[in-house]
Amino acid sequence: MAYLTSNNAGAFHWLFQRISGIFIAVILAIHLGAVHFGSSPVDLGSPTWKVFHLVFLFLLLYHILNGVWLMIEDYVRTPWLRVSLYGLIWTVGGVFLILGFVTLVPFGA
Amino acid sequence: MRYRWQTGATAWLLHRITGAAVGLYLLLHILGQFGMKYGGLDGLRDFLTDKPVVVILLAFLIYHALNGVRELIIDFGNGALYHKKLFWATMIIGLAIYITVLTAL
Repeated sequence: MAYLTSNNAGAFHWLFQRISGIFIAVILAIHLGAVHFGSSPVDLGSPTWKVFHLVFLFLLLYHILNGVWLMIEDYVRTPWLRVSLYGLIWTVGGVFLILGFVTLVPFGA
Repeated sequence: MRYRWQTGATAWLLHRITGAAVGLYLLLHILGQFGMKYGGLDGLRDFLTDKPVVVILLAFLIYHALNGVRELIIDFGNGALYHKKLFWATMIIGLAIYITVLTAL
């Protein structure tokens, strides 16, 4: 089991790593400016900020974990280990998506 | 054959290192906020907001973002023709942003 992805998947991930990166740069700048460096407090419990952070969460997890996968493809040669790490990536993604959701959805309540 | 430290390869390696570090930080940040909502993980949040950690994070973050832009120019523009100049332009712009952000810290 040398390849875990279809022929086109690599090209899709290559492109979406760039698209998600562009969005993350913009979203992160807004996040830092409003939440961490802002002079006036913002209402993070408002629907707009919740949606903003949910989108941020999803794009970020994709970008991070796809980056990790690229490194595994480069450095991990052992097939069983590669498959295990692929599973671990999806597990981490799922767990953090849930963690983020249960934090963000009732935020401010 | 000896490995040569060339601009492009070094930029690529730094992109990996900073990406891994910032990625780990952001995962821990998500975990920390989860702790804030449901109680606990105070030590983790203290660590993440510790000034030396933030100072390093911002440096890594700015590098990763700007080198990402450089990669976009190389991939979708004609940046491959002047990628070394782009790298140093990136470093100078990054340093300016970094100093500005640090003074606001």
